[in-house]
Amino acid sequence: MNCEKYQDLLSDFIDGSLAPEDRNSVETHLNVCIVCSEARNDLGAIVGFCLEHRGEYDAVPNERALWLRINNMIEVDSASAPRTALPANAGSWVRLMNRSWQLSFPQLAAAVTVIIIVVSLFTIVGLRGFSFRGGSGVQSTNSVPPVGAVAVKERFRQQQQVIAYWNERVELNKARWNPQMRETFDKNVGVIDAAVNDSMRQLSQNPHDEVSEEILNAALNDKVELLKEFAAL
Amino acid sequence: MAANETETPRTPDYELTQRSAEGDMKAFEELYQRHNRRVYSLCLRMTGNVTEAEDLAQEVFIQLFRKIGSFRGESAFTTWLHRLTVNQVLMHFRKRGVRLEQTTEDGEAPIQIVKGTENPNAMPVVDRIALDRAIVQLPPGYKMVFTLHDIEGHEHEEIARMLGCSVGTSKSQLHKARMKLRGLLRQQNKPK
Ligand SMILES: [Zn+2]
Repeated sequence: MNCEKYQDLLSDFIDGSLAPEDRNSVETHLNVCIVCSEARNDLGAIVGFCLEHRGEYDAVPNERALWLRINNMIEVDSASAPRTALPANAGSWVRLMNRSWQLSFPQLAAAVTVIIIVVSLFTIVGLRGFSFRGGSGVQSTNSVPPVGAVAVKERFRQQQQVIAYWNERVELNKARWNPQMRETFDKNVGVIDAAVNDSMRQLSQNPHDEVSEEILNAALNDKVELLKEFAAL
Repeated sequence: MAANETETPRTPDYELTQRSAEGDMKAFEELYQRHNRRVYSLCLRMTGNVTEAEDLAQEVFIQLFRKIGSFRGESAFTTWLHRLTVNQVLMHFRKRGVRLEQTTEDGEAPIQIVKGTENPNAMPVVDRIALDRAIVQLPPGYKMVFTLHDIEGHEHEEIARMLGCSVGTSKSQLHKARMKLRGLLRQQNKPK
């Protein structure tokens, strides 16, 4: 074994997780190799420092102010969306959207009418979709343990149905949009689809990846929100 | 600057979570008082930016409030909260297009082994400021594993579960992180 190979074993050596024969071999080498023993000492110093200072934390610059912000956000949260709140990150893509287009009053009035109609339709479609979940409701999913690839795929499939419905609505309106709106829409759909594909790929590799699951849910919710907004335009 | 958070709690965390789930903001505030530094410190180490860390910590506690009803007390509350924090940090990175595995796997430059016995720039005595400055420069994946293992004291099995990677990956990233930190600390020591 050369120095490089010995140095690869140094962390396990320090952490005491080497097999006895490897441990002996590393020890023997460290006795004769200054370079490697210096590396061992340095890593040991880093690990030792961390251990010694474990449990010490930095103070928030203004603890009270942060608490007030959190408290406010929670109040706003529970006032606006009592129990069906989307994950906090939901809507971030939508929020990022460039809302520079203008609506005339008749357009606005028409939009409001369309929103009322489609929201009621959505509720029906949504209720049907979510009833598969056996009473678990529309709540964000991260609070439950990872449910495995099958449940994720099933939820994905249901969401896709909802998305397909809204997509149709959007397609009907697209012809009326100006190029700027079309561009905004395409750009946002692109970002969301990339997040969806990315999370799906992550989940297929690792079905217990809760972060990907959460991102997937948020992205699918965002997509529905985005389509709903644009279906009304 | 650093403070210890392990004062003896009067009410168990679990009881506070139950009361918070029923909307008792006083109970939730108590949880915040007990744990905000730990959450903030982790965010700070991971982002290296005070404002970002504060925003992330804020998001963690909002998420915590939303999910607190699902805490069943089967693990320590701190472990559960820590997982939530790690998830928020990971989401933060992903939203910004940073992927842990991109920066931590093969794309990383190999660790340089200093040849010869002379020692042009020895590693200085480790101190908090130097170490924090070095940690900030680590690629996100290294930073995460190093923070979780060496600073917070999690086992590789736990880390693997949190990050959705294998134990082997967690171990190899930790080693690379330590070696890289060593290099960064030595660089800091280099005479200007
Ligand atoms: Zn050697």
